[in-house]
Amino acid sequence: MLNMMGSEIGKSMKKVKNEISEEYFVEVVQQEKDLMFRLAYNIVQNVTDAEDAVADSICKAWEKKDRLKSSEKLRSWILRITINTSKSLYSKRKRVKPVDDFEKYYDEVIQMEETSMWSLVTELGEKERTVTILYYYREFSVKEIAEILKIPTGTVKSRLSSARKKLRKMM
Amino acid sequence: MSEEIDNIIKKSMKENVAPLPQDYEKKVSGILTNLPKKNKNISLNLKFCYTLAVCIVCFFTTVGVYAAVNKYQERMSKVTEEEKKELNKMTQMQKVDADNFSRDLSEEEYTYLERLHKDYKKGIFPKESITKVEKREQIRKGKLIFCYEDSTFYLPDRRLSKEELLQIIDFWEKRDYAVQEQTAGIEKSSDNFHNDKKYISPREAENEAGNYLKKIYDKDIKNAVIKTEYDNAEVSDKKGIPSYFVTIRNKKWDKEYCVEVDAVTGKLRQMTADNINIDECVSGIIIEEKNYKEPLKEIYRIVSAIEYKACVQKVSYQYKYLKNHTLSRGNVKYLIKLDDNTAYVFLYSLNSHSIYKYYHVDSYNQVITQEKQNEKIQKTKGILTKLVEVV
Repeated sequence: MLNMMGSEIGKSMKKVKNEISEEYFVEVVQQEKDLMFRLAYNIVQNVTDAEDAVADSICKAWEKKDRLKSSEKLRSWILRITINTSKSLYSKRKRVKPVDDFEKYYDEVIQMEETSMWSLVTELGEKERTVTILYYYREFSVKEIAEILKIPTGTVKSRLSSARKKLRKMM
Repeated sequence: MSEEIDNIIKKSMKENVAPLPQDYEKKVSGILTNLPKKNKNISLNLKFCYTLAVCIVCFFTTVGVYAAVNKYQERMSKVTEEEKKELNKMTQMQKVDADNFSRDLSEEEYTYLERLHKDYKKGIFPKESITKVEKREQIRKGKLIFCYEDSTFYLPDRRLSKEELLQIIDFWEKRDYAVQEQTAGIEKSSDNFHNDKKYISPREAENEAGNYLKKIYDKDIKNAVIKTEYDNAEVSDKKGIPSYFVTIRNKKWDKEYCVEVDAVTGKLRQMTADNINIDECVSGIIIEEKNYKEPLKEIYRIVSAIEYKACVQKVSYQYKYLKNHTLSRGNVKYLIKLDDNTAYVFLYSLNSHSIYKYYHVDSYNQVITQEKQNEKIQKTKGILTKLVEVV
């Protein structure tokens, strides 16, 4: 009798690790889609590319989800994929996009006053922007951010501290 | 104080958050409802992989080809055109979405398979390839065989040996590679541009990128991890820029390099050298114009490493600044005009004290026109520009 490799491995995987069901995958993406867009936008700096980066990240994550050791890591993993995909996309696109040009999406869409926090955040460096969004907007802990970005907690703290200082100056 | 600031930032970011783009949620939901149902197998679901790749070609005009400069890459590059065609043909003909095993793999076999998969990437390969058959009636009992008709690995009843497990992995890897290569080909042939031109292969692009890295930075890519992506950025209705973006990483290096190589000529279009731990673009750096000629020596060295016959005709730099006399993004841009009227544009970071990006442009005049346009736009946003001619 033939056994579908999927169901058979699924059983094995349940023993060695938590299997990631489609429902759980969809649930996590639905919960994080807002953050995924903002993280992507923070890097690629335009709406179309940010949407592309998110779409690409979802596909990549789904395709490779079985490589994850634990379903608990799905959230941080998917966010990391979003960040890396966006960086890769930005690296490709920046040739045709002058480095100093910012598409002020946040200002344009909501017509906020010039000193809105999001507008100030765009003045930070990319690495600081990412930790700022994760920490202040999504309220991840320093440890969680370190896990998402795969960097030491000390580095997260120093980026946050530097971002905080700059934002305070600009406020 | 720090806590107070934290609360202000937190509150402000949450309260003043801009709405997501209009169709964004719809797009995400569309992707999520179209996820393939059967994706529990440990290998890639091939048809999904294939469809995904084609979708990426259609919608994002981007495809990824992953490789590492090691034995693994060498092995993949040895897959013949005939073998690739065969694997692609069979993959598309498959009626089943996922691969099957004719019996349950034991947990021990499964764990060993996972471990060997990692070893495979490091250069542990089977001595021989798996036996493949088209029809079920061709299967011989007691031997490891892959049957295309039902996408099944027919296994002997005994525990699989290391060689057999490696043969399975080898088959998966080669099949994925063949699909990726074909997808890159689909994208190229679907380009409206350069149809008559011959493209270099991703491997050739990696070699070119490696040569540039050696020439410019004396970096050897032997032990680096390389990721290559093909892209055709449309710059106008009739023109595209077919390129390979070769990202090169080595744990021992403090920078990650991304080399954009012309997909037709193999020439360098752009190089980025991103510092891993330092931000290149930061605000708040005070203007100190007297220091801005310092990077020129390094810039000349790079230009002559790339274009050893080039003759520099004109050099200027410009920086963007705010009314408070700080640089807008902490960088200075250098425009180098060559005697054939092409140009190189270099970006120097005053935060990392390094040249972090440079690219070649076909027309110096075009760059100047573009810069003037940017200057006007940015002035309305409070960003001022100063251009200084050096030579």
